[in-house]
Amino acid sequence: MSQWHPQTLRNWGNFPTIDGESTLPRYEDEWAPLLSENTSIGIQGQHRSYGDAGLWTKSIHTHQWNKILSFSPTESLITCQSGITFDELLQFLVPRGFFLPVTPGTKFVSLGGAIAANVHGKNHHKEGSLAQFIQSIDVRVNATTTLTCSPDNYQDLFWSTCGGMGLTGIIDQATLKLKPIPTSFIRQVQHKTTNLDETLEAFDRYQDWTYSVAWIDCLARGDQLGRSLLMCGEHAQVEELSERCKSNALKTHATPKLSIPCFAPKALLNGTTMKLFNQFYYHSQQSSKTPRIVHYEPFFYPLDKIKHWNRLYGRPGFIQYQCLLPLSQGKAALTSILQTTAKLQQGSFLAVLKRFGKEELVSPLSFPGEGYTLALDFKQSDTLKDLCLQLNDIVQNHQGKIYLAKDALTPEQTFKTMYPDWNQINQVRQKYFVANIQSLQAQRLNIIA
Amino acid sequence: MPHLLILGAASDIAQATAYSFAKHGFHLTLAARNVDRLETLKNDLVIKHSIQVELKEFDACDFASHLSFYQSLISPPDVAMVCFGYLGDANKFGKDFEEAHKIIDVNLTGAVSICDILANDFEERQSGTIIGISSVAGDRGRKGNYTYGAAKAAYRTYLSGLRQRLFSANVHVLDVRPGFIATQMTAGLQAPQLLVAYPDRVGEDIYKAFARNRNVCYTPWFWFWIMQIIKFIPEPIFKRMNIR
Repeated sequence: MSQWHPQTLRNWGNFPTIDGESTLPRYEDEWAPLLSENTSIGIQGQHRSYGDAGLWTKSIHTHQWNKILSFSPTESLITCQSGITFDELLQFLVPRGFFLPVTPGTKFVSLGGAIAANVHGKNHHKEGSLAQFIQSIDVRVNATTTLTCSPDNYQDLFWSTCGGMGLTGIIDQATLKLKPIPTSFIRQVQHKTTNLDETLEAFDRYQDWTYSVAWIDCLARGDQLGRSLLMCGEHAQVEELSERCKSNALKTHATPKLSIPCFAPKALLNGTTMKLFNQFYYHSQQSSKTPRIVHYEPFFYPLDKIKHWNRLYGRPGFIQYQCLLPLSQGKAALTSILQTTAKLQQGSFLAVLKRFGKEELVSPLSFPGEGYTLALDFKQSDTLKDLCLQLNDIVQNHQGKIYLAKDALTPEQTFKTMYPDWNQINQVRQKYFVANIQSLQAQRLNIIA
Repeated sequence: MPHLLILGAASDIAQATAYSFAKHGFHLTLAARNVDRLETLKNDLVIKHSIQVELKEFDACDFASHLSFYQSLISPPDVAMVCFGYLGDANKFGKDFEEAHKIIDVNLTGAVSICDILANDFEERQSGTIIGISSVAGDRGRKGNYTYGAAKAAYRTYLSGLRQRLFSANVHVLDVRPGFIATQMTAGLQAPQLLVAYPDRVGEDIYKAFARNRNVCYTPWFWFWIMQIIKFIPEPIFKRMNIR
C-alpha cells in the first residue's frame, strides 16, 4: 500500500511552491487504490517544468516507475515505464548505438513528463517534436482502465496526451522510436553574430544542420540588439574522431560532480552580474574556423554539469519565459521583446533562441510550431508579473504563444486565446472517464471543466 | 558466472545492489515476499545487463521455511546478502510489544536463521561471502529507534563472531552499516539534507566493499566518523541530548 508523506512541492524554478504530500508507487497493484481515492490527484516526474505545471497538493511521483519493459535494436524501439529519465535512457542506449530522437536541454526529465510537455530539441526545424517519435502510449485513465493509444488507435487520446500537461490520464508507459548513431560525438560549428538580422540570417544559412540553437545576449541594446552565438551540430562519424576517442566511440556521459549545495543569496544574480557575464561570454567566444568534435554531453546538456544550478537564483526562485513567434512575425516580435528586456535591464545569462520547423500535430495544448522560440530566465521580483504581461502582449499581438511547461503567470484569457482548442482536453477527459487529475496550472488557467 | 542471492529483494538498497552486482556480471536470485511484484524489476535487469535472474518467494519471519527455501535454489550462491529489515513505528515503542517483537524477529531472529543456513553451506563448500546489512543505529541506542538499534547491534555481534568462525573455511563476512538512506523504510522521516544518501550510492559502496574484501563498511563513509563522535559522548551527557 502506497504511503503518503508531507513534502514541499516545487518545480525547477522554485516558484511557486506548495505544501502538500507525495507518494511513490513501485508496483502495479498500488495504482488502482491511488486513483480510487475520492480526492483530486496530481502526477509529476522529475519536476523539471518551471512554473506550476503538474504541481498539486496530492502528488504521485514516478521516480520508481522507471523500468525498461522491452528493447528491440533491430526495430530501433524501446518501451519503458514513464518515470524513466532521459539520463537513464542514454546510459542504456548510447553504448548500444542509439540516441534519443528529441531531447530538451537537460537529460534529467522523465519520459512521461517529456511526453506531457511534448518537448522539442535543437533538431526541431528538421525532425519535429517528441510526439513524432512516440509509437504508442499506455494511458492509465482511471482506477480500472488503461488504454493503449497511438496515431492509429484512440487518436484523440494520443494527440491530447502529447503536450497535454498530464491532464488526460497517467502516462504509464510509452514506446519510443530511437535514432541510431555511429558515435556519441558531435561535429560542432559555432557562428558569432553582431545583431538580430545576422542571427536570423544565420539560422537560414545553417538550416541544413540537424541541430542548431543560439545563445542570445538579451541585454544587448541599440545596434547590438540580438547579437548571438549560433551553435550547430551533426552526429560525428567514426572516421572523424581522434584515435583516443575512437577507442571508446560510444562513450556515455559521466555523473555530475559539481553541485550547488544550498540556495544562493538572491542578490547574487542581478542586472550587473548578468550584464558582466553576458559581455564576458560573448567576447570570449569566436566563430569556428573549422568544425570541432565534442562529446554529446556538453553539446546537448551544458548545464547538467552543475546539479541544482537553479539554486543560484536564490530561495525566491525564478521563471522561464518561453514563447513561440510565427515565422512571418519573428523579426518584429523578437525586436520588440529584446528591446523591452534590454530597456528594463531584466534578463538572464541563459537566453536561448531556436528556429522551429512546421508541426503537423493536432495536439490542443502542444507548443511547437513554425517560427522562432525564445526562452528567457527571469529572477523572481515584484515587477515580474508586469514584465510577463508586457511580453504576453507582444507575443499575442504577433499571433504567438507561451509554453505551458515553463509558464507561471499567464492569465486565463491570454492562454485561451493562444490555445483556442484547449477545451478538447475536457472532451477527452469526459469521453474516457479520466480520473480527477489536477494541477495548479490547470486550476489557474481554468482548463478543467 | 558468479551468483548473488539477495534476501529481502523488495528493499531499495537490495535493488540498488542488484544493479551494481549485475553490472559486474553476477547472476541474481531475488528473494522476497510477494515476489511476483518483482517481475518488472527482473525484466529490467535482464534487458540492461544480459544476466539470468530468478525470483523466489521468501519470508524472513517464517523461520521453519528457511532451510527448504535454501535447498530449493537451483544453484548455491557465491554471495548471499541479507537485506530485509523492519524499522518499526517509533510511536509504538513501549506501548505495543507486538511491534517490538516484530522488529526483533525480522532484524535479528530471521537474519540469524537464514545466516546460520548460509554459513553451514558456505563452510562446507569452503568459499563464498555473506553480506549482512546492519545499521549505524546499532552503534548506540537512541530514543528514536532503540529497539531497531538493539536488534541491529545484536546482529552485528553475530556477524562478527560468524566472521571469525568462517575465516578458516575461506568464507568472508561483510557487515554493511548504512546511515540515513532515502528509502521506503525511511520515507517520511526527517534528516538534515546533507546527511541523506540515496540507494544507488549504497549499492555501489556495497559492491566496492565486497570486491575489496572489507569486513565492515559504513555507507556513506562519513557515517563512520559521525558514529565515532556519537559513541564517544559520555552517557551522563548523551542521556540529556535530543538526538533521535
